[in-house]
Amino acid sequence: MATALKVVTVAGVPARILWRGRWLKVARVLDFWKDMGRWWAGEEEKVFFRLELAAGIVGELCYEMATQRWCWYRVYD
Amino acid sequence: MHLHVHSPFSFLDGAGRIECLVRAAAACGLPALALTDHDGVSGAVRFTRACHAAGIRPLLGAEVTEEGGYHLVLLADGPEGYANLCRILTRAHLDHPRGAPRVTQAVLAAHSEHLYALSGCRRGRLPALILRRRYRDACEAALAYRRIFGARFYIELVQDFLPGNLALTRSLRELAAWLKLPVVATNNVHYVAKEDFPVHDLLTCIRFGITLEEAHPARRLNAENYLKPPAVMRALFKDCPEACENTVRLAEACRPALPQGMEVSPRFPVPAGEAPAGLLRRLVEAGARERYGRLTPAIRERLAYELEVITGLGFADYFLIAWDVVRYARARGIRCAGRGSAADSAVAYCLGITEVDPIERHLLFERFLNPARPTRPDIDLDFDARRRDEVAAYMRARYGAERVAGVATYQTFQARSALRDLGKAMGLAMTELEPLIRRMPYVRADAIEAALEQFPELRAATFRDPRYHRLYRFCAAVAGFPRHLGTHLGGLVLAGVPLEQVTPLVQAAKGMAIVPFDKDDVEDLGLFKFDLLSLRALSAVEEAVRIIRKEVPAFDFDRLPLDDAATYAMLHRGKTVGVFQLESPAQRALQLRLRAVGIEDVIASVALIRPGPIKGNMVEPYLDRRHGREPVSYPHPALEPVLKKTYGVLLFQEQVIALAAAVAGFSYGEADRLRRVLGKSRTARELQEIGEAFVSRAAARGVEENVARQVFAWVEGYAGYGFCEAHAAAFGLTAYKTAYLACHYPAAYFAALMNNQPMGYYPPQTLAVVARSRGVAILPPDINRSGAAFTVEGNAIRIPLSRVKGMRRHTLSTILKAREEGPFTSFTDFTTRVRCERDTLVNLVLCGAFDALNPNRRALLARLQAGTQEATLFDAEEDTWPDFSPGVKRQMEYAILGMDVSRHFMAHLRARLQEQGYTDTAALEGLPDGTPVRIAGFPVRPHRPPTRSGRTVVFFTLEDEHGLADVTVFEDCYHRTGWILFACPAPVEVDGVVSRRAGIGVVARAIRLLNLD
Repeated sequence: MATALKVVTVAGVPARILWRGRWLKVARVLDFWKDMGRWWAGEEEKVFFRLELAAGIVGELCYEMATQRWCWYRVYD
Repeated sequence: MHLHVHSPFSFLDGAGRIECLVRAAAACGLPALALTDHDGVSGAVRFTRACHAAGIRPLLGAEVTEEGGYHLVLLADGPEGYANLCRILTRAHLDHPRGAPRVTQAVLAAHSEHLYALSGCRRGRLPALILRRRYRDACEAALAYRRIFGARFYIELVQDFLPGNLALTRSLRELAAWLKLPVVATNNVHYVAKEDFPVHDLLTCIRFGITLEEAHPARRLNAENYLKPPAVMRALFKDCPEACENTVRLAEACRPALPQGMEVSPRFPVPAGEAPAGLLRRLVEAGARERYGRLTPAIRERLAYELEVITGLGFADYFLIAWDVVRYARARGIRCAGRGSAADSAVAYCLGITEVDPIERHLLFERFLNPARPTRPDIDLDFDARRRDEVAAYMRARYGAERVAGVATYQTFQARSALRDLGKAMGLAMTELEPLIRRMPYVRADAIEAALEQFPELRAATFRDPRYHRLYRFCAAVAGFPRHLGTHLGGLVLAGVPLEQVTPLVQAAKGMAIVPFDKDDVEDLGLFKFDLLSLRALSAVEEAVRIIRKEVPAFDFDRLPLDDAATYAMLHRGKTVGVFQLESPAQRALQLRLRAVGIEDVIASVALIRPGPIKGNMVEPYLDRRHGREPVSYPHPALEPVLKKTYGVLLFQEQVIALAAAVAGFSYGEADRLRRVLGKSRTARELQEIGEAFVSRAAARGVEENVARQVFAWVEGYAGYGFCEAHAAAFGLTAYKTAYLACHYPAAYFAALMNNQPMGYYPPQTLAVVARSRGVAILPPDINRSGAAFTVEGNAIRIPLSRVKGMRRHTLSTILKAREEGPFTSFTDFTTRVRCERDTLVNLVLCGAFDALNPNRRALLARLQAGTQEATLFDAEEDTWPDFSPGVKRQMEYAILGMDVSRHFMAHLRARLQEQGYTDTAALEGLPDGTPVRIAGFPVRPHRPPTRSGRTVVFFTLEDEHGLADVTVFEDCYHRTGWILFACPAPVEVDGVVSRRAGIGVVARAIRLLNLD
């Protein structure tokens, strides 16, 4: 999994992300979902947010419930 | 309010038990809960019962599948809504292929009254169209639903945290606002708590035959479909509070749906101008004159009483229907017999439904029908298994297919099936699991870990591998879950109204319609059930009679003498393999000790070897008193007429009733109720209260207190253990008569038994061994003499061609048809005239079917393999190829036919075994009690019945070329070495001592696989 990110949330929803040394504001939450992953192999539940950042970047942020860790799952090119 | 909820009756798509769902709903303060299983309402009765127990209101519905595979949730408002739901489900199931029910919009429109419709989960039509961006189609679909359901159609919103749900919910809300449709919030519940998700995921994998590692669109991505508390739901829909409010309004609008008190009794078509009660009375009077000749006052009084109760409770039609069914069967030569507590009824006897005279036997009508606690009568009828379906077809034709249907049975997860299905889904290697599955006793799926501790054959270290612990826990989680719907073998419901007013109808495997409720739920629905059971014993009897009548045309099975000395002599020797109800090792041992001299003894023995009487310690006292080793005494004279026939031992349920009546003055109705109450577990305080009431009533009749207390102790102790005498009598008669057949016509009877497998206690191989011991030869299959079934030739039984491994039905037909034109004169003649699959031909050769034409099997096989099947010089010359040895021939015969023909396997080893000091089963009879022996043979039917002590005792039969020996394995021996009986199906050797305590048997000290070296 990718490097952990610093994320500021409001009511559990990401509002700002510190990425590559810059704070990026979340313009819109396009979608969010939960995924139990390969639970039989010990994977923990994750929550995904598909976000549009103010800078125009669209990506999927992943939050691991067990480790409380945020990371990018996917960034759209 | 949760309006979209699935239980395990959504078959492999619901992981929350009904009781747990209801409890969870009640615990979070919900006043109501809906049940909406896929295309069915099978859980409705249990769900309603659970809700009432928990104090919440049940809302009944279903998630139906429309054409195109779209889901739609329907909820019933009141019995009218439920009836419409049943009609919709019936059409969905009966008008479409089995297993793929579909509802059309036309059917929805025709039966939409009093039904609420919710647009469904993601598989609903509206969400599915929206997800495909077909917004206009979604709008039109919504309008179509509104046209059908009017204000009762709701847009369903589900916050299930799946990708795309944000946009989907937004679009659904916009659609609802645009069309002014109300919205409801649901959670598409498939389990109780979040942590149940893995079980649901596994069930999905089982459903699609995949493992956890395989992706599938039906597998849920997350664990959100649980019964979320109201506060969580309100938080999820905080920007759409009306969605939650509407669930409450909708739930309040739905009236109780399950029909209660609806008149559904079946009606018998009586002649014009006559009422059912009158017709019944007329038939009973005619039948009584036929049965009894002269009607004494006692007979008249008994019949009048029964008729009064039957007609007073409104059951005249039920009895007429049963009478009509039996009449139809007998008119068509279909052998049948009533069983169970119906034999307590003199009316049933006079109508010819049963063959037991309850007046002569002093049987109590109240055991069958209790006016003090009226329940529906339950008449069970056994039919010749081959023709039972004809009788069911008659019922459908007579009363209308819309009013007659079979009854479902739920195939549930038990230990073996859970291990297999869940193990596969978890990707565990079947090669590792199969040994565990094969050795696992037939226990519940939540008893696996206890079984690993209890049964020594499960001690292998691999079964305790940590990888399996999770498997065992999942097995426990699905214990008892219905896996799919099956058909009850005998149950038939009959209603006076079209069944779809009360229950949906679904297609069963044989194409018959069944109600998707099991026999217990059927009664709760108010439906009347008949049990038309297939009994292969009756098929065997019918076939044996047919064979016997070829030689003895006047033979009449129904009028056999009940005092045949030779038959009782056979029972005395315990030679009852093949005899109905009397062939198990325990029964054979009992017969040796009982030494029956009359039909009452046979009836008692049917009742004695049952878990109840064994646990209740009735067997030994009965035998001791029967043979005068213990005096028979009665603490009160009133007990003698009740207990005399069983030598003072309380054996039958009817006796429990009669005792309570005789001593404490209970009416028979009250006494039967007392029996049932005592038969269930009670607290010590409740028992004491009941006891005090009994004693005080007895005292009021002048019975001494200590006597009353003693009698109450008997009644209390045996209430749960007693056996129904009427049932024992019905079965005892058949048992005796089949013993008569086995004694006097063994070839015909054993051929009939072998033709009606599976049945009875022993497989055909063992039956053949026993037949041989009675002087009946077993003849090998013969290409010119064998048919499709076992046949009798003089005093021998011919093995049929159907027994040959790989014999297809069409091939057999071809052979028999070709033979009609003349016998086969040679192997070549056969191969010329009959097109036969090669593997079947090889098997025919190797099992000796051509021996009469050419005894050299190796030569024939070589000819086959060389491909030279045409007529050659081989036909004219002796084959010079050396044939297979007798030992090899025997092995091949057994492998192909599943039974020994020329010689039993053990006969080949006998010389060597004798040298080593082994005893055969024939020699056991002459050995005194306690003699150490070593015996060897094939173990047959090892089993662990319940014992009085609760300890494990294994019984099995050891078969060798001379016959059978019964072996007892006590717990310590079982744990040390006896477990191999359940692990390895192979010949064994037993070290033990002769025991003549319960017949002639061996008590094992050690058991090993037979070392053939």
